[in-house]
Amino acid sequence: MIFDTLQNICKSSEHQIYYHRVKEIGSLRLFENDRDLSKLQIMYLYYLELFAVLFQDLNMSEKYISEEVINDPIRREAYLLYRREKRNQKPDDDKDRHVDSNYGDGSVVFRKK
Amino acid sequence: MDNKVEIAKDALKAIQEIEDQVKVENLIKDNKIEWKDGDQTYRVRKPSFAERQEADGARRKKYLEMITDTTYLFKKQWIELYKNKGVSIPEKENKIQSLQLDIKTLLRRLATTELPKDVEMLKVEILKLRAEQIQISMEVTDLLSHCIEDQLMLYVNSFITYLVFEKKDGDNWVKIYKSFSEFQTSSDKCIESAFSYMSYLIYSYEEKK
Repeated sequence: MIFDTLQNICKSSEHQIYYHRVKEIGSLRLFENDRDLSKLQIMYLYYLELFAVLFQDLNMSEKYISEEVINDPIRREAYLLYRREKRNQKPDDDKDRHVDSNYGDGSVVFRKK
Repeated sequence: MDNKVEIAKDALKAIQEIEDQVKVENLIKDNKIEWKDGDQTYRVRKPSFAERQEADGARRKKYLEMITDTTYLFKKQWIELYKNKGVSIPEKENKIQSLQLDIKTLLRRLATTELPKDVEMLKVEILKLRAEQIQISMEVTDLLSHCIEDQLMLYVNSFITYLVFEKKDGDNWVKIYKSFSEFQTSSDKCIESAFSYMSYLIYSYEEKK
């Protein structure tokens, strides 16, 4: 119950905006204590970052993300799993991609149209 | 009339949500949690370095006491005992793992599904598997609740709660119990709240280790 409320807080635009401001402006603080964070504070930071990532994907019009997905805990979990696995995919597994061998690993990646 | 009742219900729900949010915002503002019970204000806070060391000492002593007492058994010994009684803990743990794999497969499908009917169907299936997983997991926790590992964790969490549980006395915060044994034998209701709030402040001792 408390974790559902915590997630709703972290999802709210008020907390998201404040979180981004804190990252930009060093003198702003999220908590009264600077260190020795409580478990709830650590989870708050985790959810703030998680929703920041989801909203960023939504703004970038990434595939399979929508407000509906963000607002539904199970669909959100499903999307995050899909996202993580997609990002962990080795280049060889991605059949749509072609790497220019002259530049070796980690060089520019050209996508087939 | 019905419409008015519905509106009132929605309004109450919205007020409750706001109250819950304010409560949680208050819980995360620092690493201390204060609450009122009658006229008395209580708090729990994160333990200091010295208090953590004190808890480590208490843990060591309790561990020594447990391993010299033949009625205390390690998790592995309990698992062996249950095996002789025909209850397989590893089998239950494997079932939890296999359910997790099934849940992940369904989550992968759900992530790329957009048809509302299919989405609902997958969600129902996931919830069903998760409920089964939780039930088996609770069974395992219950069966192993007397093992040294779990009992020690419970003991240290109680000891830490005793160390950081305080009440307001004028402008000062004072420790409520003079000794751990006084804390352990007390039937004060506020101890339950203290335990519950401590779980928001610290990860359980074993998780942290």
